[in-house]
Amino acid sequence: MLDQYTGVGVFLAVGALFVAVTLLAGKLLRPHNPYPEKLATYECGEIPVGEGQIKFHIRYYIFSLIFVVFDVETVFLYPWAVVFEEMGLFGFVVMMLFIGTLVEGLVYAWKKGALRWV
Amino acid sequence: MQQYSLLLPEIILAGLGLLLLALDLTVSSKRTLAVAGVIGTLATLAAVVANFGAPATEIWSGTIRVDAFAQYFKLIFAVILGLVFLFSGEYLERREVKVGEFYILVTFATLGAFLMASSLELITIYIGLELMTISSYVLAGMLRNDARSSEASIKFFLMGALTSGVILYGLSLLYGLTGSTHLAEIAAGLAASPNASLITAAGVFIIAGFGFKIAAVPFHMWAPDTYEGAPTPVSAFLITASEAAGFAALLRILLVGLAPALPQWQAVLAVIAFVTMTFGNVTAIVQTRTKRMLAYSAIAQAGYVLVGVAVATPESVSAMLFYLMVYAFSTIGAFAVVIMLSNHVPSEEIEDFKGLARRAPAFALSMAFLLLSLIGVPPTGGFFGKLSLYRAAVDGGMVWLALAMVLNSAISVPYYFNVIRNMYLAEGPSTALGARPGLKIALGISVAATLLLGVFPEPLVGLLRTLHIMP
Amino acid sequence: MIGDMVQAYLALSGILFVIGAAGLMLRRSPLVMLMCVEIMLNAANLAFVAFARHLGNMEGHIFTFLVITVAAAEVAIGLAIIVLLFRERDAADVDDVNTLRG
Repeated sequence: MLDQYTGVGVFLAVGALFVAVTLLAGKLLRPHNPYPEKLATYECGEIPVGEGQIKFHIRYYIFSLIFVVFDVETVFLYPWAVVFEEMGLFGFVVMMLFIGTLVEGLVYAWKKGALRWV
Repeated sequence: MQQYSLLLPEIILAGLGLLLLALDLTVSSKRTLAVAGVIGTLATLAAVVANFGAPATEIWSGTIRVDAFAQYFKLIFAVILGLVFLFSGEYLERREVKVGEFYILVTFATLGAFLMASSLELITIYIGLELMTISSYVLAGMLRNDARSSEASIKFFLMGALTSGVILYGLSLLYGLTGSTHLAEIAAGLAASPNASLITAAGVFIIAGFGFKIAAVPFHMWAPDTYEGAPTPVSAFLITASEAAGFAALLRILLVGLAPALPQWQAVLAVIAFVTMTFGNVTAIVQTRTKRMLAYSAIAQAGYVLVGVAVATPESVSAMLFYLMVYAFSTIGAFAVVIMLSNHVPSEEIEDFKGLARRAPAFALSMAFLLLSLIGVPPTGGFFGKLSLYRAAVDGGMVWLALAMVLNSAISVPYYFNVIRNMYLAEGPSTALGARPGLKIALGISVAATLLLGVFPEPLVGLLRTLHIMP
Repeated sequence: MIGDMVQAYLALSGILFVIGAAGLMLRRSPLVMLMCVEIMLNAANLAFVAFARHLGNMEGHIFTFLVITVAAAEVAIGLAIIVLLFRERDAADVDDVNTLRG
């Protein structure tokens, strides 16, 4: 039982050692010459604007809420896809009813303006 | 195809929900939605009644069970839904609630209640429970410009989410002990299982979880706040339909699934019933706000109904089913009057009832009658319901609980009478009050049903005798 | 081997459940409380899957699928209610939500 985990233990130890050694080596070898531009946050070459810790617009929540709900429903599509051949037409119709219900919900959210960016 | 005709009530109700969703987008008049809702509810009712004679059947690998017990509860839920459609319109418009969303959510919540009642299968019961409660969380927070409503919603949500976690964990233990999610097989598995401590743990989780749902003391702390802060039609729906659905699922799980372990729980349930009715009644006396008083009164009534679960004989179960029906009508009717009054006087204090006998005599008389039914005075349905619960408790060997019920009815007299005194004896403003026809119809139905159940209880009692909870 | 494992998974699920329940009762930020609810639901999910593996039948797996979906709906609604609450009174703490008393 324990033997099986020896390899894992060695792997963990070597991994930890590797990180420590490389970081230490870098620290010892590199030149130390900071100036303001170097210390600034890297934003793909753009000059950063404002703070990183900002309040996100409440709209993001609405979008993510709608996304989460529809995202999870796809879980039911996988088992259905596996037995699709055996279920035949009945399975197809039932799944279309399921998806149709979801689409109606999405259309409702859309028409009510939940997807509009204000 | 027979399975679809058995499922017709659920199919119609789901169709109604989807139809309302579509109508809300296309139709500008909100009254059309209410009319569509009433028609759909009538169709559902017809389908429920049509299925009453059918023998108990399980369809879809046992996930749905159609029997008289389920049909009876569906009858209660459908009636409540219809009355909510009838009496909510004016209140919702005056408080600027999104009317369409309200109708849609209340329909889906009722569908969840339907599913809870019509299954012996844990997965279906759980899905039904969640469909009902998740819709209810939103319903409770629908008064967007009232801080108390969102407070009701968040409290309801946090306690409800905790509860469903607890129930779910209890269900997972039952499944692990017996290898099945069907209550009949669970009962067989538990009878053979040596693992007494895990069975007890599952029982604790399930009783505590459903105790939250039906607002039994000591799991009631969310209930007064939620019922007070929620829009009044929503409070009426939660106090009646949601509570009855909780009882339906609790009855099935305790009396079918946990039947082998039931004797060890009866004493606990009896104590919970006693504490619940006493606490509810005593606390209701000191309330000054109408909805809060009715909320504590609902807790007390849940205590009476729990007596039927604790005694756990066929007689006590049919007595509590009768009482649930009477209670639904009396409470919904009382809420119709509260809604009428709060359409004119938004403060919803008990003081607002002053002089109602002159301002709206018919409403005052109905309210007095419904409150007498909640106390349990003849010739109301409440009297007969309490009498049969009392008799079942004595026959089931729980005489002390029967006595506690009588004492509690006496304790409850002052706060119900306080409303009647305010309506008839106190001086108040004298402007006449009125309501839309829908609300009047809903109130008329409630009063007539409460009276009928009190004067001619025999047909319903006869029906309940033929109805079996066990498979 | 598998027989021993179910005990371990159950112990883990029990610990998760207690963490979730304790967090729900002790923490006061509605967002953190929502996460604690998720931990509790997932504790039950873990128990279901462990039992289903142990017993060798499918019901536990199906139950877990459905619980995951229900939990997503619950989170969506919960976040919406919390957003409503923040908008209304900037309450980051459920103790500030105390208009209803008595």
